[in-house]
Amino acid sequence: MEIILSCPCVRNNCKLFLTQGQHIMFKLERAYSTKSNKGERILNRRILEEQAILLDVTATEWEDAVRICGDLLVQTGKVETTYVEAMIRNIHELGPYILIAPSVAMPHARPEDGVIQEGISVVVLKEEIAFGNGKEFKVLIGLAALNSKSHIYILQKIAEVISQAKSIERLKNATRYDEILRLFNEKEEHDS
Amino acid sequence: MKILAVCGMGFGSSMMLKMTIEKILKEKGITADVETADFTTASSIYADFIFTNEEFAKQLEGGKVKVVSVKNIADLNEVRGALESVLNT
Repeated sequence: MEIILSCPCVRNNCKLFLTQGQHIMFKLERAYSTKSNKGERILNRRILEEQAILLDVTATEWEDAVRICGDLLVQTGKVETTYVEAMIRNIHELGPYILIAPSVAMPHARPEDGVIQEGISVVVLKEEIAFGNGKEFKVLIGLAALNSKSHIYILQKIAEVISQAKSIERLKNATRYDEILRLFNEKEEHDS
Repeated sequence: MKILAVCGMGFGSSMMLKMTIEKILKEKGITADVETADFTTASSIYADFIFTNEEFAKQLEGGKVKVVSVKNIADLNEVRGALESVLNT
């Protein structure tokens, strides 16, 4: 079996090929980070890849939409299929709590439910889907986190995108992959 | 003062909400502990205020702790307004 991991320098879209049994920890954070004017280290990691985005998706039930969103994480090597089942199970058990902003849902499960690598997937639906109690969503951001601390930079990025009504509109109405990639992978253009 | 940010699993949206609350506390110069919790353990944790989404707010209301519901967990204006209103009561 060959495991293909995306190299952290995804900028060049290069791939590292690892053979089975090799356990590799990437210690490249320092190499791929810069210091902000406040002296904090900022990772220039990209959290989203084009293959993890689907636009103009038709779905009538929330469960279908969440499954599509989770399958993108599977296809891009972020999670095992068990993770997708856990995402759906959690919503059944806890209700439509995954709405993080108007029209935006962030389905996820726990790291131990089958996360391989951290990252997100993005699904933009053709039309809003009802999600109980008069709520609806059009955008899904699937989250795969390795533990409860290491994913902070991903959450910061998502927060940055959804903190402004303008960027939520850009997400909802995106027609091209690069519009979504730019929102999530580029540095903050303005203070929120 | 202790604020509890609550979501389904205690590390996704509650962590984002905690980051938003901390930004506002910092900007206002208020010192407070902000912790995250999952929905099932939230009611057993001591706090002055609980911040959570509308769904969980409905279920957590009615206890001793003041519950604040937030629509957009990353919206500084919304969370600032919510925090100001509970601090003034």
